[in-house]
Amino acid sequence: MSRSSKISVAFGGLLIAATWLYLVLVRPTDWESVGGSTEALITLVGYVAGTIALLVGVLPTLPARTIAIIPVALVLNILLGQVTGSFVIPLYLDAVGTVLVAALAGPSAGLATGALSSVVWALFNPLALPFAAGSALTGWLTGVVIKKGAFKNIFATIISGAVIGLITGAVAAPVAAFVYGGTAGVGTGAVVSLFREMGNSLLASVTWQSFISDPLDKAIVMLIVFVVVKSLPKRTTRALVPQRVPEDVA
Amino acid sequence: MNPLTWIIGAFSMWIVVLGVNKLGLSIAVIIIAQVVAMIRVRNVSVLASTALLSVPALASMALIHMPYSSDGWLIALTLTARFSALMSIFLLAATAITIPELVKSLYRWPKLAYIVGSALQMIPQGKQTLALVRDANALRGRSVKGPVRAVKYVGLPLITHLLSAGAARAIPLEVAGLDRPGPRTVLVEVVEGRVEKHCRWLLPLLAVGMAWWL
Repeated sequence: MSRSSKISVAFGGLLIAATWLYLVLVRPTDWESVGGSTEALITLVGYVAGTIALLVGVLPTLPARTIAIIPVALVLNILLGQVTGSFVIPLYLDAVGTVLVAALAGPSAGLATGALSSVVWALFNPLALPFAAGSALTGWLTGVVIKKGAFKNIFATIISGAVIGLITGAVAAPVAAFVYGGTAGVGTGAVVSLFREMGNSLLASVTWQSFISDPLDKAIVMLIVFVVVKSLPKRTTRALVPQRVPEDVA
Repeated sequence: MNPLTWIIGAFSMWIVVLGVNKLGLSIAVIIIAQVVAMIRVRNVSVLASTALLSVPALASMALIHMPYSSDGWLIALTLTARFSALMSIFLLAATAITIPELVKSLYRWPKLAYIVGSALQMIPQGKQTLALVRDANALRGRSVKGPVRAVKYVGLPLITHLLSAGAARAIPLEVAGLDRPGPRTVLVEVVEGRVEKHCRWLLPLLAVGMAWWL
């Protein structure tokens, strides 16, 4: 990775982290004011600009073999996400392609796939756009844990997925709360409503909903990808392993 | 207009809608975006897509906000209108974008151009594969109801089929020189004015200023 790429990735990562820290630490005075404009703008601009910087840094470093499978992953994310979204369940399953690329081609490829998935999907379903930073983080983190051995057995796979879900859920919660003022799905809305019934504030309810849906969702996604990777023909997996960037080999 | 101008313009309008954050503006944006979309595409596809996204959002907002305060219905309505305005804007922009023009406008970033163009073209192919897998299961008389059977008999064949097709493209891409550094050119560039070319990147700043002023 060149110096300019490293700077771009560092800037993007810092911008997303700073946005999240600002929204969590410098909380709105009124916890119910999730529909406010300032927090919504900070979330949107911070996350989208950070994701663009990450893509500018990572994309040129990916070899053609990896680039070849990213569109497939994007299509998988969109199709599976659409199918799951049509059910009234608080799950998404829109990261199967992202995690698959992360497993086959490493964390950088996972990051680019996650981010681009939200950007391309936004042309049909604009709801996805502000979640690009969370999707990028999902791709990068799953790539890292798979590289460290998360796929050595089924239990490690499920636990890694659940832990990643907690982190990405925390990152996605400000988007759901501030940009959309809640959630946009009936299933997730019902879970948020349940938490409000228990006496939680709106923002806390949205965050708790993320902490329930996301770990379960990512654990299932990791499990699906684990099964797929184990059942893929060796010829296919060999053809997809990057040749030019040794650090990306999963 | 260049597709990038439409996308950046839509993003800038998001900034205005979120920044101003008023029910009246959200409703005005929905109406204008839907009318322009209907004139452009001469059907109600954008309206239908917006409704498809907004109806679950309305149900969710009603569940979250209405039972917990006296003006919950107003909060739910305001947030749903804002949500629908955001969706309308981007869907309107999408009607003005064709895949070849979008790919041409991204020629300076060849890897990005390949990913975006290829993914957009593969979506119908992916849907077709999904239908084929479902048909194959139906012909075998195999039920795919329930999450485990759906993943096993629909999800896994879909993934392996699409992935194998993707893997087959890897070597041609290498041979075509996607990894080679250096600038790319296109035979016929996207038609755009000089002002548009140089000023579209200023639209988000203009939007921030407008949101602050309003």
